[in-house]
Amino acid sequence: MRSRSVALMGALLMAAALPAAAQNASQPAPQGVGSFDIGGRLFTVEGEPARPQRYRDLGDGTFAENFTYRRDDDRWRFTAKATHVGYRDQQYEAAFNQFGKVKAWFEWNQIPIFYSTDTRTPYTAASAGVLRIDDAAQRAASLAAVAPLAAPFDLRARRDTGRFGVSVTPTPALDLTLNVSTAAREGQMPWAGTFGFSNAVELPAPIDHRTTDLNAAAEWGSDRGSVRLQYDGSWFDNQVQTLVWDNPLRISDSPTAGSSQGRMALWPNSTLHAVGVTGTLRLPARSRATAYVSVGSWNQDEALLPFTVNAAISPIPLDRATAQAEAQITATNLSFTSRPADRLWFTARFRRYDFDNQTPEFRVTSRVAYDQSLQTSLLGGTHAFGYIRNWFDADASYDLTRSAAVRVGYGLEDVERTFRLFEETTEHIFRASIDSTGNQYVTVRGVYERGTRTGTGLDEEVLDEIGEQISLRQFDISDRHRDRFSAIVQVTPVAQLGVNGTVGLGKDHRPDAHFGLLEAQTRFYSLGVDVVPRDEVSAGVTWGFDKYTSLQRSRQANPGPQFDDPTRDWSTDAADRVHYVTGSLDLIRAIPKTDVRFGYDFNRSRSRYVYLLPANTTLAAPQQLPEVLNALHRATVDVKYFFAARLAAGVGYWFDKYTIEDFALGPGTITRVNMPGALLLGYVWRPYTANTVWARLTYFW
Amino acid sequence: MSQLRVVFAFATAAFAYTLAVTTTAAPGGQVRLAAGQAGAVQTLSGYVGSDTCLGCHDDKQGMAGTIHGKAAHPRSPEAAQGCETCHGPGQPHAESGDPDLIRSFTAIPAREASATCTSCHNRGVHSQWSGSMHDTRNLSCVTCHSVHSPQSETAQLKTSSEIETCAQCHKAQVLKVQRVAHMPVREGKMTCTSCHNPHGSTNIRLLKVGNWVNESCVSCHTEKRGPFLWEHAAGRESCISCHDPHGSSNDRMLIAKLPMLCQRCHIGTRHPSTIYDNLAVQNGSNRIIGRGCVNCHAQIHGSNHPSGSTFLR
Repeated sequence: MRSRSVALMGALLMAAALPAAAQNASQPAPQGVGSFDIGGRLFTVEGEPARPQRYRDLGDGTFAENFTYRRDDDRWRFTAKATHVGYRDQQYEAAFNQFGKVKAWFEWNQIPIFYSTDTRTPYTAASAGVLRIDDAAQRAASLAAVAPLAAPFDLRARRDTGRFGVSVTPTPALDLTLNVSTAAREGQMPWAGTFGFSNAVELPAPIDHRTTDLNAAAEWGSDRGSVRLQYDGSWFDNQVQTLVWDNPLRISDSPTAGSSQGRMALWPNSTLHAVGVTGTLRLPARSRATAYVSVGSWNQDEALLPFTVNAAISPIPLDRATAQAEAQITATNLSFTSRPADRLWFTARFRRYDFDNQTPEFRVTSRVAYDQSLQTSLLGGTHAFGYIRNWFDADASYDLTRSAAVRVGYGLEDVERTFRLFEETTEHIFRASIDSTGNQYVTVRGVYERGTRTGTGLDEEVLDEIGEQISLRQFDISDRHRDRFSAIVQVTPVAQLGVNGTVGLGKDHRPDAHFGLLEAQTRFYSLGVDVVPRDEVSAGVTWGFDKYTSLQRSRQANPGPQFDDPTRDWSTDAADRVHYVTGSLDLIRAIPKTDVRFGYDFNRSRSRYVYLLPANTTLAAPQQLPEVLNALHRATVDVKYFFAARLAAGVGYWFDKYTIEDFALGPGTITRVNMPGALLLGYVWRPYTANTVWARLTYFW
Repeated sequence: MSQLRVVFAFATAAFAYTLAVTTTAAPGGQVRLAAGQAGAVQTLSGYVGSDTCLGCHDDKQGMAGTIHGKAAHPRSPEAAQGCETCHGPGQPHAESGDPDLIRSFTAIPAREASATCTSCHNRGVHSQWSGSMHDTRNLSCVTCHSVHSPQSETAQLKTSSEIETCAQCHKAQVLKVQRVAHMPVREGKMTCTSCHNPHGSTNIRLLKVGNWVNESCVSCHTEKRGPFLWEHAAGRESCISCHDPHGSSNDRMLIAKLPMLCQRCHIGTRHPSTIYDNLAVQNGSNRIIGRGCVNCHAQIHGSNHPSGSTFLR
């Protein structure tokens, strides 16, 4: 109700601007154009009803589905749009533009996320962020005793975003802009609250937070250049910052055997402030320089919880009472482009991003694991990860013909880090491309890149301290050779026919890694045909294939002799193959007074993870995991018959089918809430077949 | 100090280059007429007026309905020389009919076309066009936009929707949106420009907001912004170390299933280094069924709890 009121108020505010502007118009009376739909919808589903409505609301009933309105004259324009009115996914937009003077816009957008209707939980919310289980069941110390209490509920959340902006142009050279947005998220999501290796607990974590963003900018521009000053502020406010939940297997606290409840810190409130200045300058010889500097800070200073909620464990003094987490962020961009001759073009760009995490170390000598037992901290305290990223790119382009250009370029990415395995990584990238984009008949675009990343300041003790193999290389910062190639060809021999094909190949190899991700490859191909035999008929079909493979290595070992035993090595050879087909056929008045649109989307993904052992292995042969299958079909038909120039009746039909076979998330695996060693919500990925039928009247004004 | 040195070196090099080119190159460049300078350009010869243009090119009347055709807008072409604001003086072309004597945007190099458009569209979202990825790849404004025959409701695109425009080149990314784990793009609640600014940006990959990929992600997923007491290094480094924002076959748009994704970096003693095979699945091991590692390590994006070093609290 509140959301609808806000939406209506915004629309009224926007509409209120209309008469004043209209009175100033000396042109002929403005004309309004637009349309609105009213009708009804029927949604049926066999199988999982949540996933087909993952980000939308297909509820049965009457609807005012689409409303569009535009009214303008030579001096101003007003547009308004409403979709899915009254449903969970409703959206409203309005904009007013008094040309060259004032622009204002408003948006209200609700995005639901519907996880599951299969979910059940024995927990009840005693208050915000406090989840309890019946004491008698808790006292029984058995998941089997708790499971019968699990009550079904719909697991869902929703993000409601409101945006308002205004831009004033007091002189043609100056724009003053203000944007304000507020995004609230409410609902629940699956969350973990473990009490140990054999007592994993899945909870419906409460979500109730709001982010308010403000952006203000002043920008002056002329044909010589421009200057922009801006401020960005963001405030994140979480209403539930602590989650407390009962241990399903214990009713009392013990200093060694466990806690009767768990407590964790959910997302803390935080703020962001940044100021930035951008300048562009048009220079002789068709050159342009652009400079941008932004200075900002991220702050989070929420009160810290005690080390444990377990009353049987003696409190551990906190190193400090609040987080005092802060990062200073400085970003710099400099770019220079020049076209000294008609066919020649250069660009050079330097970028720097300094994420200076200034959070002081929070010293921890001992901690409480799972609210259950006191343990010595391996780390000794927190590490404030930070980095400075420097990029330099230089490219030169030469026009072979009026429409085709070749480019060669070089890129350097240098990253300095704190508290990571490598103190610094440097990547050199060489690239070449050809782009022919202005030809009426053929478009060809291709690019090849080769990158080599190497790290310096390797500190294997970092791995040793945390019990990792010292020859592990974390894939995001490890030495890497990367080759990538992609090409697109579009051929349009006649205006009625277009054929397009794309290919993308990529290979990453990590020469220095003995453990971790060793290599990965991507392949993508697509082929598409678009046909427009006459104005009333258009059709298109695209096929695509995407393949991703990777190889990673590990060693199954505990401390001691096993840790250095190569016969305990094993690898995972993974592959994900996806086929796509999309197609459409539009018949616009090919049949008198009738528009017909057909659409079809299909994708099928097959993923496999194969475990490999060396010939001299001492590990037991693994039972290979079954392949994971995801397949989605969607077919749509939309028919609109025009009774009159302004009135049409339509019917629509959507067919959605989802096939899923997943060893981890399938209902064949998670068969009940009390799985061995885990109390789950029963959140699974299930197949469905959904049918949605629409009937509607559309009025055009 | 090192940053200042780089900035100084960059500026010096740019200045030296510009000085060298301007002192050696012959004067040239395209004729450029900024909107709002009607008084100035009327002193130039060769303009015939839009009525003359439309006398032959009556199929271009559609511009009148767009903001380009609104004379009340002081920065519109209509407020200056009409058609000739962008196409240049039309007298030679009108008198001879020779198509080479007028600036046609389908007949000039991409960067020349863009230079015309950016003589006005040089602020706000367009301010970073010069040297952006699309500029570098020889695209021009008219690759995606149509001034005379736009097909979209907004932004004057050549296709009816934004995603169709992007799909012409970014097929792999657009098709990923169809996968089971995706952003709400196919539901119409987001578009490509919800995250990207195709005209250039201060971020990588033409991301619209912020200066690094994480700043873009946490502009919506603000709860993960932090900073936190305990940080996950890979997550602080880059969200796309683990997530594919265009779509995936895995829960939460992860680039691989769990625990395999985590085992790319965590192979230490005991449970992270263990093979979780089909026997583990059949036995209901909580390290592989359901949500895998995050069945326990819920706070993987960062923890503010003193005992949160392993993201369990």
